[in-house]
Amino acid sequence: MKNNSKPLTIALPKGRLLDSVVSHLAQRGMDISFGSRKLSTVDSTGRLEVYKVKNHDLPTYVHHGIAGLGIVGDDTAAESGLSFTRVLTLPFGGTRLCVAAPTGTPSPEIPGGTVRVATSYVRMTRDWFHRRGIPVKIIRLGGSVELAPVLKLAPYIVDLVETGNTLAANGLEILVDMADIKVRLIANSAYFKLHYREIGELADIMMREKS
Amino acid sequence: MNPENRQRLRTPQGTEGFFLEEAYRHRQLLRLTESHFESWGYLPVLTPVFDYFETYRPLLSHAQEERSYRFPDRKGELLMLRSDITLFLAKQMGLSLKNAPLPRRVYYADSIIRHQEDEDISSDEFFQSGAELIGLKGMDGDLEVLMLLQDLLSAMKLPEWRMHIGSRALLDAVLEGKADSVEAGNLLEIRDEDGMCRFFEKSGLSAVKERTNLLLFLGTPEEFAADSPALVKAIPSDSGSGSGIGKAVEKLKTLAFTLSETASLENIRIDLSEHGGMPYYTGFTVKAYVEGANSAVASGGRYDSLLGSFGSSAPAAGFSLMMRKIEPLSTYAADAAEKAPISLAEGLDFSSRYKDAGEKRKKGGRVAIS
Repeated sequence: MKNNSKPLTIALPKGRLLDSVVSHLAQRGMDISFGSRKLSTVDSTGRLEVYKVKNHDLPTYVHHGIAGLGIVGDDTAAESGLSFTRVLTLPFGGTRLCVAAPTGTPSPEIPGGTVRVATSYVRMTRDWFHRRGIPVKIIRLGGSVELAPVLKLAPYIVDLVETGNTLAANGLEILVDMADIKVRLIANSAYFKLHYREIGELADIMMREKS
Repeated sequence: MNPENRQRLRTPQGTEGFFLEEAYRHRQLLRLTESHFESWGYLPVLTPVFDYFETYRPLLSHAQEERSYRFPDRKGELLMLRSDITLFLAKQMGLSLKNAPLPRRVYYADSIIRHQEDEDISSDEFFQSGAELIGLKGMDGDLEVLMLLQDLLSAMKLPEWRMHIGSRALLDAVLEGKADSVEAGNLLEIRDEDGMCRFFEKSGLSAVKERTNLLLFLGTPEEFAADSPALVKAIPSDSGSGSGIGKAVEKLKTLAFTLSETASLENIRIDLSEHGGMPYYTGFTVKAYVEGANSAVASGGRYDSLLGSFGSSAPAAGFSLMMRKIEPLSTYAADAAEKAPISLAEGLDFSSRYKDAGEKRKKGGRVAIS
């Protein structure tokens, strides 16, 4: 059914997560199709005005209210350092943030000197070690962090782990499960306050069994 | 200009200047605000730009402390730039009102300076305007502050806006002194339902789901009146918070009912997740949201013990407005600039143009001589 009120604005992340989100919404009657090279569109019901943005830029767009809503992993939201209203946890895309190291390495929680960690998740890593009072030296990497212990840049890494196959292939094992990472529908807090009814309706649709 | 000179013209991240029409809109809105406060019997106050950090440290949360700009003076004492006028004003009032007749009504309009994240496109320099009603406790004081804010927001001719009213007293009653209010406040702000349940459980509170449901209530005053009895009843009355919760909810209901007698409830929502943010709130809280602004444009509430930190026992309530967030959205400010364009005086020489300009100015015109 076509929605007659002003559409809610939502930012979706480019990449793997986009396909899951688009499929999840399509199964609930909201078809999203971006024209060639187009980065914005309106869904088939007219309920959503959708912007396709880079994953790590998504929190910035929602924070400034350019998009009132966004779908994003806890890792991206936490690394932005920004705060958002949590509307809904989605049933896909979940993963774990873990400390890993070459097989046989002692846990970083065992008292010793300063722990050297390579990671792309600097803020979450720093917070986790600081909360436990473990001195940490963090080396920021853009990706492929499994290489860091192999090349002796740092004995420990902090990374997202889905199957653990990449870790195993590089002779690494999980030492600590730091946090479950979930994919969520988030909202700019002020936008939520003004549109909570419409957002609640959207959340109900997104939670429904597929039609 | 050579590259060395260009380098000298760079501006630090977070600073801004605003000029001409933009500054005119700012001033127009400020005049509206000031005349509104004065027409309600409020008098202006000015606070110092910096003060000793030690004075305010116990009243700041960790995040607020991190956002403040601090520096040592020549003797090594740590100073803090004004990052929140309410705090600086509380000290001034606490010192000056010890034996003064109450209530006192004051307003302010000044800049505050606090750090924002680099990603934030707003400035580190904010312009805050607000009002404080000192020495009037109870419902009349709460209502005066809320109506003062509502009438001002109406006069500013904003797009769709809402005032969200909550209660710090309710949050304190729900927590029973067992759970850390800062952590609870952080979870409430992001409406993390699962996180709140886990936190209440960890803090040794019973009926964790029911407490969470109550604090996440957001609806019209009519919906609050209809839903709140069941939400309160769901929390066992033998828990330590039973009567405190009931009292805080009844107070909010009375507040909303009395507001309905004087104001339209269309723009009012009861939002129990609003706890004020600052640790000094004790009673009702309020935040105002406007379509197009990415965060609240006004916030306030009752803080009866704040002045006590500075030597006065007077209760107080008030609010502050983030003027730079409101200005681009206010039709009043835009109209003011549009309706009063600057014209040029007519005449063959300076003295005749001067006279012509004087005549036109008497009729309210804005006239340049040459």
